[in-house]
Amino acid sequence: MTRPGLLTLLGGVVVAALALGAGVALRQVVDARTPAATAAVDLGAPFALVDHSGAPITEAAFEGQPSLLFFGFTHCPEICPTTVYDIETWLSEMGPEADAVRAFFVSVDPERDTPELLSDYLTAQSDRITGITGAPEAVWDMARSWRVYWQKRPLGEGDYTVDHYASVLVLDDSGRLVDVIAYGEAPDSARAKIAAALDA
Amino acid sequence: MLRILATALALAAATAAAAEERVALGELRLDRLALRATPPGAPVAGGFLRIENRGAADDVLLAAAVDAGVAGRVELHEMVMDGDVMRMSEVAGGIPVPAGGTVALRPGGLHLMLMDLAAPLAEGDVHAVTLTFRDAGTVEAMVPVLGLGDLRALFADEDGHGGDGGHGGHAGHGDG
Repeated sequence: MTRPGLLTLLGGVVVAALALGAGVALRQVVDARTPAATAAVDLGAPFALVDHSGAPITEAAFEGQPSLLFFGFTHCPEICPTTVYDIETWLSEMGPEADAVRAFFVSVDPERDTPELLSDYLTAQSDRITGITGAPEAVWDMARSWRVYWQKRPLGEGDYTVDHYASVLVLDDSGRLVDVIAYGEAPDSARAKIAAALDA
Repeated sequence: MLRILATALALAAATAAAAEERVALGELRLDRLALRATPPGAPVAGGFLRIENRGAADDVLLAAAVDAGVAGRVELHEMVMDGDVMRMSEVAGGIPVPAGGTVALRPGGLHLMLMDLAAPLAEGDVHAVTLTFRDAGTVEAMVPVLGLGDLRALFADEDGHGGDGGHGGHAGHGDG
């Protein structure tokens, strides 16, 4: 157990009221599945937020097709645009069969990430990723329900960045977690996980 | 497979052009200078380079700057993957460049962080970046803007992660 992992576990209960989830705990949930188990992991809670076009979006968006779910923010120089690029690349390389997959980018910085900003940011990079934002507390509740970690960190001149869980969640067509794609994971492994969700 | 090979060759060609940018400042040699292209709406961008110190004395990269028409300010940042969590922080006191050593500011680690971009950084553009070292002084470098594919290829030998080759290990990490 790494030190941050232990801290996350110890802090998990105490900090539930803060903008802090538990990404390490999520990994444990996933790792705890036995290979033989076919049951997916039930995470997430109902939500009422807005997509990057400003239209209402709820948990129903995760049903009816497999989904990729990523938590990020537009002021993120590295992980977030890289992951958007990777998601677009995985899906386009998989060809038409992957057209059924939906991908969602949930802002962990809803105070700055308006639907307009998310729209500019996402549509320039991919035409198949839906941004999700909304009232900050409602967005954070949604992120907490998926047990992802994030934490605001101050930068100079009143600015801030957000540390955050960086893996991509793979959901089945019922919106249940079936796998996780780590940041920097090999593309063939990522595509195999998406294909497995399509075949399920 | 042919398509992948063709893509790899195209990336290698584009990267070779960027990798030729070399700057000398005293005993320091700078190369692999690059800024990352940004999507519209992204207010920040990463900047990257490799610094070799051929001298007998340590130095420190203290600051970087760009024209106000490019970005409001530049900070020195470090990104660290802590398990599944990305953590970002400003580097206090500058980035040491030890005597005889090489430091890489590369995707996934140390980098220049351009804040308050005036406009998106477009692939193919070139911007002047001023770098200030504690002892070697200040130098202005002309730095090209690269897309992610080119940027990954530029630093492909620095780290096992990323890259379309899909090599997943971290054994080849060579910078100190």
